[in-house]
Amino acid sequence: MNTKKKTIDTHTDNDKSEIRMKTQSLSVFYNNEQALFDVSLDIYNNRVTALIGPSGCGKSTFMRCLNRMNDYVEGCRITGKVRLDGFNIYKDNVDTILLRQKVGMVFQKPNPFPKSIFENVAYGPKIHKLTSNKDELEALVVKSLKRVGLWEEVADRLSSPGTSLSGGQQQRLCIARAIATEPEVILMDEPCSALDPIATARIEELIAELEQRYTIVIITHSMQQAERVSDQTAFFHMGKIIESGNTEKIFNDPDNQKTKDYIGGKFG
Amino acid sequence: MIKPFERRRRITVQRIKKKKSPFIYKSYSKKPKHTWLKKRKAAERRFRNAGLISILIAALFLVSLVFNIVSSGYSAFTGTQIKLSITFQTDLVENDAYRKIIQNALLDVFPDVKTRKEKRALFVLTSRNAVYELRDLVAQDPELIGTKKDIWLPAASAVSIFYKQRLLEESQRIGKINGDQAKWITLLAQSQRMKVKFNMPFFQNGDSREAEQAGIFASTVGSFFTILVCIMLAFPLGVATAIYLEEFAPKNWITSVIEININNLAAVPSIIFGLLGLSIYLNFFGMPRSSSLVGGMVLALLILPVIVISTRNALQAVPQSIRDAAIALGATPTQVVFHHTLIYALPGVMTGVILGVARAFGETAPLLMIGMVAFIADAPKNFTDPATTLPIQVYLWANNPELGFVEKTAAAIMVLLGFMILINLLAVYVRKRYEIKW
Amino acid sequence: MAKCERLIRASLLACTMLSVMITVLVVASVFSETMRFFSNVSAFDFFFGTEWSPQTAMRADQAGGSGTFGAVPVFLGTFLVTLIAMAVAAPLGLFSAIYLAVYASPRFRLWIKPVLEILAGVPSVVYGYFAVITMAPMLRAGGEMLGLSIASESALTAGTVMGIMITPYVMSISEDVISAVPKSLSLGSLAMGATQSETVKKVILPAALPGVVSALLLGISRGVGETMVVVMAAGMAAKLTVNPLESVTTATVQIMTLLVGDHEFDSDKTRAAFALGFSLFIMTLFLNILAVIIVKKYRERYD
Repeated sequence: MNTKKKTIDTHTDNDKSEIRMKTQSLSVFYNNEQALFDVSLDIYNNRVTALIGPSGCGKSTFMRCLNRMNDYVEGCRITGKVRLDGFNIYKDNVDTILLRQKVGMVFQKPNPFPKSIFENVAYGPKIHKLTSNKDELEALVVKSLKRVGLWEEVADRLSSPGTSLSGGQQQRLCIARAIATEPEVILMDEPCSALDPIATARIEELIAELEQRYTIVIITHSMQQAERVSDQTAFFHMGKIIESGNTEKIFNDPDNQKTKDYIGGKFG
Repeated sequence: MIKPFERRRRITVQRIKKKKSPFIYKSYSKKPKHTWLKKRKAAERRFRNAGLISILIAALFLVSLVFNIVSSGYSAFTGTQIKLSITFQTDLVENDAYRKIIQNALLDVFPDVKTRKEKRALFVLTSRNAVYELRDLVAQDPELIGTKKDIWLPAASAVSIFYKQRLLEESQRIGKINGDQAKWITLLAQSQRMKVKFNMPFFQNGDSREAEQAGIFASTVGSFFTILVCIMLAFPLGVATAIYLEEFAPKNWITSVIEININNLAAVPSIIFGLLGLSIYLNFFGMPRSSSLVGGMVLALLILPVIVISTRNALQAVPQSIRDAAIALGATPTQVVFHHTLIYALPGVMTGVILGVARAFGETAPLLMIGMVAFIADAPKNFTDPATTLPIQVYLWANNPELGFVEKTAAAIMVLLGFMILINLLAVYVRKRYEIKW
Repeated sequence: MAKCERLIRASLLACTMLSVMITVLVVASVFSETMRFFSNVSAFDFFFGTEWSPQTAMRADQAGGSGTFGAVPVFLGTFLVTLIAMAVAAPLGLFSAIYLAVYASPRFRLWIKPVLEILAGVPSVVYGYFAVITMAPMLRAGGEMLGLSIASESALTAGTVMGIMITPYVMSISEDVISAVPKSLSLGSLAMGATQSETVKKVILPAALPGVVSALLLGISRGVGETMVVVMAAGMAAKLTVNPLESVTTATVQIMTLLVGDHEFDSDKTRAAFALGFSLFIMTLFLNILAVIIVKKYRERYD
């Protein structure tokens, strides 16, 4: 226990400089109702950051700010800053298309397009013209499918519809689809909530592998999952961050009583 | 292989460092990648604008339709009158020669009119109906006989249009107003002998060969009778059918055939119902042709499926839990329907019925086929009298090339659209005011 | 109590039976007249003959003369006018629907929707008047500028106005269909950095395609059965032409001219109208059933 904790601490210290994304006193309003209050959080490079908290606490709102998906919510207004590599993504001259290519997203319910498995993964590279010919595109699709461990399962039926897969496979397909656009940050909004335990374990394993290449932010309602997959954890409550920091610390020795209660299962 | 609930071991492999590349700014470089992005953005703009333009075109059509109708129709709501000093000569009155009386009065104003041709042009300045107005006047007040009095008489339609809009060119083109007449009208106007007045005959009369006397009263009454018959037939029948199908019918293939049947009926072209009216109602049952009774029966067929479908939707919207609650209290199935389900669904039912009526109100083609196309001067007094409806009046006038009828057509359309908007507002009101949200 | 219950149920059932009877009656009456027509005039001549002049058959010595009831020009005219109408209504309706469903702000939608609903509620006789008074002179003037001579009653005029009339109808069905595509799909696409138009073209429309197709089919079915606009703005003479600048006639126009006014009922002339009506009925029925089947398949995919 002790030794382990130590390695992680040093690990984190080494990477302290590598803050990939950062929010500074971020507040979000839906029409006149405030959903987030002065949220400041650092998201480290090549780390998994878990966002936990009871329903309606603002986790999803916060996540949608990171790739500006809130732009599509009617009446949503934002103050404060969200920085990617030090650049404020809410500046006027930021291109949301390029931003979303860099910051991918995986949704709560698997949402494969009503197209073939191949077309699902190839969609992103096609619209962004990431590849210059058909061979490259195929290679990229295969690479993405392999990376999420779906290749063996679907290699012989790439042209069957994405919706024909099982729930867990669909979600991995969606992750493959997200990584095919070559993002640097992947946002995952409760990616396992619609899946059974086996599929969940598969996704968790996948997250651990992806962590080497991507910066991952994940929302989860499962404390065990947050503890298993994440390096950093932020606890949201009533639109505020109550506590954030090293996962080990949050789960074993939280500073705040509310955090302790939530993790201990007293509310949520 | 997978141990889901085991704390995962930290992976200590070398983390792959990636170059930071904040390609998120719009100041694109000339890399091929960015020209592609520019193209995408342009495509996006084009697509969005195409949508906006489509909507605007549709809206523009409505605006131009309304503008067109209002601008050519508003003048029909006013009529022009000419003041003449009428001498009620006893002998002429007794011989019923009111025409001569008016002609004399006109000649008094323009004494230098001598030739036959000129006289003929002069005498058509007043409406032909001026004769009847004078006769009525004398009948009301016999004391007038033998006296001389200034009286406002209706002007002919062409005169009216010329005076109201100064459409000399157009009036001349269709040969209604010649140069002399234009001069006389101007003179009459200068001597305060002409005035524009609200056109009551338009709302009081039926159809007429004289544009200035043609009105929408008869056709509006006809519309009213027809719609009344239509509602009285279609409403009970449609609602009862919907209740049976939704609440009582066993779910078997017969029911589903009936459903498909009724749904398809909703999409049958209206002219087919005219064919039915012609062959069954008129030829087989020998019902009175052109009557509002047959018209209403044809329209009832037309809106029956509309009412059935909207009633079923309204009934479906009532949650099952309400029915269960009533059943649990010991209500019989019909009590459940008539005490609860139907009552709660009533706003939806009414909205559907009102919208169905709106459709029936504007319907023309099937009514033309059962002979409601006749020239009707008097409002129908009962359901079997020959009648016409407002849309048919519009159709009849639209086919009449006389300039006076152009404005009448547009005015009748304005009234028709006014009724349509009222009916639709009623539907909106019922929905907003009474609808129950589950 | 139980007696009353039975009575109510029986009367409800009676009403339903009456409704069904009526629907059967509609078909049966038109069908029987049509059959009587085809016993006098061969169906082959009707469906493949190219000369339509029913009036000549009214002469006693020539009753039921073959060759005068060739309905090809009539159907061709119907087809031409409907085609022009759809050329107007399909792009306008579809693009408007996409704009309303995807781009429009709630406030814009609040204002524009009633406007389009009014457009949908205007009686067709008003559109007919609009076609005659406004559209025909406008198109004629436009045609003159381009050196084309457009007949005062032309397929183009009738088709264009009919298209305007059908546009709100196509639009509202397409909008429903587009809005029915799960939001998660379009969000998934947008989150990958696709533009709205790419999302619409590559994700939403392919998903909504069956619904859009059935919206267009329903639009066609309305165009085929529309009467007043063509009666007022297309022509009476049956010409075998596909030139939109000339006057053409349609099935509905012919039914009207054959049946409106005084006439003896028992003649081939009037029965020809029933034959046309029956063909029209079958055509629209086919289109509607097809549309319903397509939509049902599509609903199943997402429910």
